[in-house]
Amino acid sequence: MQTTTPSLLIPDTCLLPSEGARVRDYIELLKPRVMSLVVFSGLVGLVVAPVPMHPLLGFVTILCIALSAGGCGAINMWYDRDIDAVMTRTQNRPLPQGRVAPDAALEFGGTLIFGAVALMWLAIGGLAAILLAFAAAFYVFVYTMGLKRRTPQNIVIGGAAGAFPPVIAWAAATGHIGWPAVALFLIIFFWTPPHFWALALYRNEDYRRAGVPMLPVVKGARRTKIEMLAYTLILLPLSLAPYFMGFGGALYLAGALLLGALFLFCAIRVCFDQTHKAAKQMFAYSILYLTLLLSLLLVEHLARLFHGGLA
Amino acid sequence: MNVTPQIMDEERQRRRRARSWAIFLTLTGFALLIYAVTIVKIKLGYAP
Repeated sequence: MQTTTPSLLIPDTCLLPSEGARVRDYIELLKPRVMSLVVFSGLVGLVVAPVPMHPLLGFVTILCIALSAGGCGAINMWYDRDIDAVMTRTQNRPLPQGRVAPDAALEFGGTLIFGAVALMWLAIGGLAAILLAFAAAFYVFVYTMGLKRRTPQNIVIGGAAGAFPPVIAWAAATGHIGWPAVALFLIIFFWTPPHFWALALYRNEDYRRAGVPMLPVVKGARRTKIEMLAYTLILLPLSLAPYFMGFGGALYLAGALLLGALFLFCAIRVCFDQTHKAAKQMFAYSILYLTLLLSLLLVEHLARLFHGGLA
Repeated sequence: MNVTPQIMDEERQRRRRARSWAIFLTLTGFALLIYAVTIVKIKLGYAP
């Protein structure tokens, strides 16, 4: 027999949006899947930095990056609630569904970003906090409010915001911006267009309906596929930079070559595929690619740490 | 489904209490984290 506590009796629709919101709705505002990749790339930046960090300070650095990324996600959902309601992929998000009030999402996101930057400043240092604030501002004002609805180059330029975490983590550990951090930034930066355009190719109708000028909508599938291939060809040599700069070993080199060859294969296959199958596979593989590439760096550095010989 | 105003008020109050607790615990966690970081930094010789 069902229990009859008030919370089980009342449907959320009887309450005002912000009152009906539950914890899972606020977690959804953080874009957890995006956040996990951001956090992971930040963790790699922290581990490859030549200065070992106290575990608590390292934890705080990653926490700040995660909170800021989550806050950016919430503000992005607040600003894009009109187009999210139109797109199939996003119409079940908490704002279009009315489970969270727009003002509550904005306050939530703003508070998270402010708290993350303040915590970074107090606990870690000024440079890391400034970089964190800059990345958040870039994502919110430049990408979300500026580029996304105006230009097909939105995710190319906006992709810089997602590439910042390793730089922020490196700055937190060392107090400056090093070339290895810049190399990681560039890898993520050039990975972003083929990753996003693969999604945009098979969600083309969604973006067209919402009026978002993604490259496939504005320039067509053929031009998008060629540009995806071009960015992939830039990405491949860049992905070898960690080896040639000395912070990636032989395992990384072998892995980067193999993963890169598969990435290139996917990009070429997308060029010749008239259906959405190859684009869907490329989108899924692109996530795996970056995760594995960064994992190789992480594994190598952790192995060196445990063997007491961090080079 | 019959939902009386009284039950709705109770539910609203319950959720407001839950939100207040969440804010309180977050701020407490923030303060404790700053405290712990300060202790670590003093031990590492970063802070005065």
